[in-house]
Amino acid sequence: MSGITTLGGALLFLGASVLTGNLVFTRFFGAVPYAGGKLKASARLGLYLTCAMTLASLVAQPVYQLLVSLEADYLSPLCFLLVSLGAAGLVILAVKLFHAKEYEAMGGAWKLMLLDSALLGVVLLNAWSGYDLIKSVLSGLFGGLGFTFAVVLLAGIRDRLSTSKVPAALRGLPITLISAGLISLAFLGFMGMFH
Amino acid sequence: MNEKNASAGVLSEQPLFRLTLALLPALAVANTLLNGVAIGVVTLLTLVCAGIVMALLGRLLPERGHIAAWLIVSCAFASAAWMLLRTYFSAQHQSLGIYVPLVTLIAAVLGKADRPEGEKFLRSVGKHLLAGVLFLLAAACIGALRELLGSGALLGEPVFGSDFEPMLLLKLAPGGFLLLGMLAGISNHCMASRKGGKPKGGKA
Repeated sequence: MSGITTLGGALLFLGASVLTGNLVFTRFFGAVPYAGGKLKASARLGLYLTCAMTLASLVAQPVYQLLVSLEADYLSPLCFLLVSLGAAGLVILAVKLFHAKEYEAMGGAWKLMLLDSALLGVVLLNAWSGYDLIKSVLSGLFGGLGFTFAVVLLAGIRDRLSTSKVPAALRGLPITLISAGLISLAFLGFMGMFH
Repeated sequence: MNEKNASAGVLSEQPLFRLTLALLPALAVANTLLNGVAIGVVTLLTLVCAGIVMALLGRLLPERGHIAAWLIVSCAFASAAWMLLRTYFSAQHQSLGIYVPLVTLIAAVLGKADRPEGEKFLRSVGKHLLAGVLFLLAAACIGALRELLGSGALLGEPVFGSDFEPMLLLKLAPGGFLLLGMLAGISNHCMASRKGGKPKGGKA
């Protein structure tokens, strides 16, 4: 099981999660970055997802340990799904209670949050890579920050593209995917920086 | 594609948009023909089985819990597929890794989990079957292209002569994004040029 013991290790892990191992650009997780929302709304949704990812990572790690000790790790996907749905539900509930206006304004975007593969993906990734509790929580938090970073980058590019002449067939999702590919190519330049 | 009604970031109703979005996580593993087919078959089976269960349960469930029910049912089938792979196809189990449980979400996006519909049973199952087969074809096509151009081989057998210079980019993550973006653009173009044809055509 791998863990983090020093602050420097945590910083390196932050760099690795945001730049070299970004969930969106290297692991293809996420639906929020491509859904075509406005920059601020997408970024807020990304931050809510970050909270849910951290919470889900925190809860899922002991659950996984328990399942492994019971030799029932075949149940892990189902348990992880329940944990991540619960975490997302709690975040949505918290926004509804403390920020009713914001809850109304997001509308259908909450459904998108439940269907985003980054939430379940990060929990599965923690278990698959054998992270301990602290590293799992940091992985959820930093992975979420990297995710939000990617959402902001892509939304910014979409804003710029809205004023430029994109070929009709490429408008919308295709040009966003091609932009994501080019950013991902640029991010390859960070490879090997954080170990 | 739909700049106006996407302002809140809601999933689009367009089949091509959904198919492309569902293909994204699969890109991580669809780098050879065999892996593309494997993730496609897992998705097809999960989608159809979950679609059948949800079509039977549909009327009994409250509308609010629809997404959660979809996800849990499809996760059960994805877990079953995961266990089958682990037992009988351990090579695929290793190469697909965490993306097999993630098929839960792929199937939910393809199966329109966020929109409950009161359709006839057979029609709903047929729709899911069609979406699953399209996904399988697209994933296999992407896997084959990446393997063919990225390493000059198909199913592990070299296809081109020794002069062929493989496009390493396609095997890496950026190549996956670029390829999917271009295929989606090409299918958009094909669909636009034969308006009135079936809206579900196209490969990516």
